[in-house]
Amino acid sequence: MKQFLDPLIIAKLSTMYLKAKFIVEGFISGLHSSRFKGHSLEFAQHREYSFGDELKHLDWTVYAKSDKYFIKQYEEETNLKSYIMLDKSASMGYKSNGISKLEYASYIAASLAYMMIKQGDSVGLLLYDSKIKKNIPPRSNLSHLSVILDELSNLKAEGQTDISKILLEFSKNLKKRTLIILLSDLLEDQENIIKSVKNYRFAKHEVIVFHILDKTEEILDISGNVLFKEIESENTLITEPDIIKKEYRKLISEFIEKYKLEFHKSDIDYSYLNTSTPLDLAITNYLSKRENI
Amino acid sequence: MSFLNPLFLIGLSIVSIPIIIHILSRKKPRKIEFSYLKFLEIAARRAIKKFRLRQYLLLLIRCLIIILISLIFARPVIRYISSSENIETILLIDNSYSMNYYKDGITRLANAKESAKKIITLLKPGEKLSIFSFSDSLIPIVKNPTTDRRIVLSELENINLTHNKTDALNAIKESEKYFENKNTEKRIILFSDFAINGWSSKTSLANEQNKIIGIDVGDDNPDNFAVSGIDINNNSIGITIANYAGYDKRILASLYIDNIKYRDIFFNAESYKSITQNFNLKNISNGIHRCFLEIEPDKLTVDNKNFFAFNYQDKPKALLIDGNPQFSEFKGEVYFLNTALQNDTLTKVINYDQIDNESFDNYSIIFLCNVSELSRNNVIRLSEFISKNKNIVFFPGDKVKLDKYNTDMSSLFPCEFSSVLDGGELMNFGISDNAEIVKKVNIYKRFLLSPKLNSETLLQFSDNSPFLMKGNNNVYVYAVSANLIYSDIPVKPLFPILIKQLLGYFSSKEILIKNLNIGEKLTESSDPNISGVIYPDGKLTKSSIERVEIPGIYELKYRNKKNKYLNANIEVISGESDLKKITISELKKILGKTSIFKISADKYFEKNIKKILYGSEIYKILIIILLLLFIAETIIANPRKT
Repeated sequence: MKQFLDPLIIAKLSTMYLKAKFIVEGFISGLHSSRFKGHSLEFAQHREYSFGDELKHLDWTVYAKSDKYFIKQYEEETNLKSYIMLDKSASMGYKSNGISKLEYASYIAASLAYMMIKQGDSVGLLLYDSKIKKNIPPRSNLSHLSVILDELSNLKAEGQTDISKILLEFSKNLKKRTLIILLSDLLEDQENIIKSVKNYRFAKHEVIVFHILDKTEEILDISGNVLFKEIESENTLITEPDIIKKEYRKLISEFIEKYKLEFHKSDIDYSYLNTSTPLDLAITNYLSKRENI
Repeated sequence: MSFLNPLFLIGLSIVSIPIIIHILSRKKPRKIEFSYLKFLEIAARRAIKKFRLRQYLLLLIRCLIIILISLIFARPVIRYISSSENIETILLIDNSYSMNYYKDGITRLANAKESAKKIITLLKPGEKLSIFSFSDSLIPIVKNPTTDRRIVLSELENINLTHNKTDALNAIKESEKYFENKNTEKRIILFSDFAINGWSSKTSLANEQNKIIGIDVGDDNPDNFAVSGIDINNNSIGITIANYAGYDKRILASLYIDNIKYRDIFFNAESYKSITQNFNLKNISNGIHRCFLEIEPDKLTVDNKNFFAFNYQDKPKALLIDGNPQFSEFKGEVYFLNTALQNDTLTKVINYDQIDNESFDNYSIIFLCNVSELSRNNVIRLSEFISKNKNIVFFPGDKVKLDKYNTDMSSLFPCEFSSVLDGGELMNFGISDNAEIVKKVNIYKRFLLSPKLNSETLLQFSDNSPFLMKGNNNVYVYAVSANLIYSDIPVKPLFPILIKQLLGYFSSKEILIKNLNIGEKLTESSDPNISGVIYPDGKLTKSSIERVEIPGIYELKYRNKKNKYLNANIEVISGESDLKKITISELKKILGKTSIFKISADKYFEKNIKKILYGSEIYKILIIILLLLFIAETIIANPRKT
């Protein structure tokens, strides 16, 4: 099933729901045992069984009555409130071939939302560029999933980015401890981004950062004499990538390494992904984090 | 620079190809939208400068490669001196005495001749050349330009060393006159040791534009020691030895008198300094001695010897006869005279009463002071004394009996004693520097002296009456006394001057010795009284001599006076013995517009002179440069991959 986690294959699926389902189920089928966990003494609600759930949590009484599989959910599991913050600025629309960073990010967002809601966690979605474009507050019911997936299906990369501003602005709205899942290319002033992400940690929130770049942005595999035009501005630069490639790769590598180092210091999960990275990596990172919360 | 295959220079036009390729390779940029330019800008800033530099360097190297390939095929030749077909060559060969310097068993002159022969064989057959030797003057050897190599080579062998100093600038300037055709290209090939002294004359070549090829037969670190001077003062000799080496040296010098070694002297001569030692000669007979001083042998022997004639004379012995002795010596007749003579003579004072017992043979001068009269016997004794070329000086005084002086004794005197006059004023005795000294003298009384035939008035009073007279029999008579009765002259500064002057008259008849530099013209050469010359080797010639060419002692024989001796030596003091070389920059400064190419007459001489005469092909160097450029191009075009 591994090939079904290839972003290019996922992109061919028609709806975001299918994409999310495909990714999550493709991921789970690769596991020896379900990593869905959650124990509580206090029953909270039922949710429909999904592949990978432990059978011991099946409510056989409900099955006897309705002939459907339901899983019992407990209070502790439903306490997790997550926000997926997705950068939809113009730079996220860049793609060298295959899919854009925004598409890739939306698949991750959809999969995570799908998984979280199926697990009974509440999940919200925040779409932003230099302003907050859409804020869907966290809910855990199934109908909420289709709201999120609908929003993710109609994304269009536009506007300038100002992540640090958005992060600072949005942090004021969070009252309760929340899992923040940040999806962005982070192509802005690095110091400001690091500072504003770290703010969430100071406020006792959990943060997972998915740093998404296109392969070309990472290795600059372009040749010839090129006039580069910046997507989010009118800035241009004429240069020969073949000459500057070595220096560029060094800079990008330093850029990524700095994020990794600084976030690690603050116990912030950081994953660097390029648009050709298999999508299960994002889910693995999420589950790992979820386990520790 | 010229080219043997100039047609290949057309290839230089290809040099534009890499430039065109470079220009055309700049494609129009294609537009790409990109998410973030910041890292691109930084990377471009860092990498592009290095890249551009490398690109331009590559372009330059590629252009140079094309140029070099064209040049190699065109076979460039560097010509140090133009070699047109219409050229005249003069060979100037230094035969000054410094060219006698020996090294490896060969003199510099011999080395110069060998080098000249090689050049003569290398010159184009039709090329005309003439040969001159030079030291302080230019001597034609083959004066008229000729293409006959046999004549030139044979005459070359006839060039001999001289004892003269070098004047290369004069030789160059003089040689100009011998170029046959004004329109031909002129070339001088000068063979010399290039010692600095040879280029120090004032001769100007400022307007000359000829080309000189200098063949250097000198050494970079020569050493030489020389006798640079002999000074003779009375019986004392001052010897100066010069060290022209780069190190200190204890030098042995031997003095020979009449060909017998008189003594050895050691000189501790410091590097590039002179040292002088003085000593008195003793225990040799009076009269002329032929001497020479010789230092130990070195590489240049000609300046190791200095010849000089030496007239040895003991201090003359003078007998002072006091005709009016006093109890107080100070009031006597000879007190002041004796004092004035002390330095230059050995004196003895007697009273007139003792004259009969004193032998005159021991003396060369007798002073008679206020002697009243002389016996007949003593007049005869004194006459015999002066007949031996000895001198008598009379100072009259109050005791003098004029009738006796003018009669019985008159045969001795150059004058008659007429009368005693009061007062008088001395004329300036040619001692103009001390005119005041003469004026401050007071004359109280004086004898009026009337000159006889064949007498000579040496000094006068202002009324033209004699103050000092001399007879042809060597008798001198003063008009005043030697004490303070007639004048205050004996206590005035004038007195020692007068006495010195008097002794000078005695010595004027002594033998003359003159120092002369080799090559210097003799001022006496046209003197008709010269009856002959005795050369250093003892040969006598009946004719005079214009200039001396060989060091030694020459004796000029006169018909009417005593012989004169000439100490002829090489002119060490001119600096010719200092063999330090002139630097090429100094040489170029002196020569002005005249260009010079100097090469050494060493083992590479033949190769180097060929280069100078006919130029040298440089394709080998160009090939090496081309290979280096290829290597550089490969390295730069393929930077190390990381």
